[in-house]
Amino acid sequence: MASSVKYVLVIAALILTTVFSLKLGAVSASWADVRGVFDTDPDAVSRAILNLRWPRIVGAAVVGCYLAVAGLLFQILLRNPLADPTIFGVSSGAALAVVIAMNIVIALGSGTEGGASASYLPTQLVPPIAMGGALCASFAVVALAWKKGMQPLRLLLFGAVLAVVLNGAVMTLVLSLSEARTELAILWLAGSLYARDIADVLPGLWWGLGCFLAIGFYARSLSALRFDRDTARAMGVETKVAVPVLLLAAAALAASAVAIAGPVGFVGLLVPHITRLVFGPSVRHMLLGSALFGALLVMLSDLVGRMIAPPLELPVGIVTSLIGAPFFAVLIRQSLRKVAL
Amino acid sequence: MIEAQNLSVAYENRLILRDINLRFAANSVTALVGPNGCGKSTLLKTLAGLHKPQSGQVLLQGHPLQALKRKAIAQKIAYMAQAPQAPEGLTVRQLVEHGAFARRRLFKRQDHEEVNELLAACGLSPLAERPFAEMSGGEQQRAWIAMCLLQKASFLLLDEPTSSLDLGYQINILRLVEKLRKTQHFGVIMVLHDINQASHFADRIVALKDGSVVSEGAPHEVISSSLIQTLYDAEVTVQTHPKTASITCVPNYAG
Repeated sequence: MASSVKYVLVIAALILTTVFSLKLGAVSASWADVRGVFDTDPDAVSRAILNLRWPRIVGAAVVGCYLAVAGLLFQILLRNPLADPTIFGVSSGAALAVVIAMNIVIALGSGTEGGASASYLPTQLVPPIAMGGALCASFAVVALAWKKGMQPLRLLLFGAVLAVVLNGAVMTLVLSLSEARTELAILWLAGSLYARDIADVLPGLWWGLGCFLAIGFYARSLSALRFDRDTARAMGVETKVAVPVLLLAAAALAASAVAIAGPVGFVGLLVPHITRLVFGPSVRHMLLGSALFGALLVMLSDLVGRMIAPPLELPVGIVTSLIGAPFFAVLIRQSLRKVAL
Repeated sequence: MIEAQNLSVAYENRLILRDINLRFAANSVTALVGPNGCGKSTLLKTLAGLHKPQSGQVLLQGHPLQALKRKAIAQKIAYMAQAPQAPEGLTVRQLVEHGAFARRRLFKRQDHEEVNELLAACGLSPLAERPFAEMSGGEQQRAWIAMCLLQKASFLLLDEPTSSLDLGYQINILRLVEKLRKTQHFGVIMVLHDINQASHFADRIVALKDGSVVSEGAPHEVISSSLIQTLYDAEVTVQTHPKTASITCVPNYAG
């Protein structure tokens, strides 16, 4: 099948998922209401769909796209097919920052009038705090691993070490929260798109644009960086510039995804491998395909999470793990069989 | 012309090469020989600008390598690592096409023809669309050489291009390089383990031991049983090959 046909199919799947995400949910809308969304003057039901479901869909698409592309970059740059955004301390850094902020707000709130209700962390503050934590953790990993340049293995090891330490700190803090707030923290930590506003997503789009421009500029270098470093340098790749720039772009993409939805697992690990199976090894197809498949996977997962037991919903991060992990196991078994034969 | 001037290279504070002075012309074939750990691979890497000298410098047509951009170096020097690693899933053609990275212009139709010509010259045309990972060691090595040659550099640096191959493929690879040199005109600097291959295929031998040049010159000037004794602590009988007339070492296995 030609790649153009594959792109058309994936984009068709994205459009279908968008339409069904608008229609289905805790309250199923009629087709007329869904169509009403595109009117210049939507009625009340359509406006509700637009306000509640549209931001989630956009959020899911952005989160999936960013995580998948970040995962692809980490896998190539760290020369490890199992690397994903969580490995770089991005998720745990964001988590720690958010949980610390929750604790601070509670500590401040308990002393003032208004009591418990005032002590919740305002949702619109969560994304920038998560972003700050994610970037701090990434820089910490790079700083720890830095020794006359960056070595993929050292980055990987320090990333893993830092993630363990930060996750320990997160758990300690979560357990120290009172019961009702523990629930909120856990909901965020599971990776959720619940009650996301379009304002949570918009800042991420600018980050994303910058990152994708940088990635596009270095796409040929990225292709060459899949060879060992000496071979890439001998080909003419300025590794001392290209690698840090691309790592920064990957960390920023992952950070802004985590800022929107919390740590959504498995997308960054999984999607690049699916993409390679479908689109082949060309870096351009891998980048484009990962972006599309990532968006599709998270949109579908969010839809499934909303459908499974309405009016309750499963956080999207749980769904990607529940679908993603078994799927990954099957993928590994299949590819092992192919190698064995 | 690549020139090493008072070149010393250290790795983790250990001096690997000390005070090397060598010149390599773009129309010659030089073989770097010496025992394991003598620094010959390090020298090759430093000549390719992949290793930073501790002191001294490498000049490429009079310009210090340190001051040049990687692309500028790649347009003059192609380098093949001892065990290069390929990305997953590439076909032979896709691998070879990566050699065009350092060209200024984007990939165009005439590049496609150039790749085809190179694949044909390396005997890879029937394998072009096959997965690189499924090729034999010798075929993979030919693909790496084709990739390097697509750089259209004036020097081809090869780090032990024959080490992982059986005897048939070893000869095949060295003959291929010899043949390609006639049409593409490039200088070769290669690390070789087999002194007889060095003697036959190179017009100049640089013998290294403990990071210093022990001897250099044309094979018939340099190769002697005492040199082999110095380099490898092995006893050989040096003779002229009955068919090719190149200097040949035969080990005295019985001692």
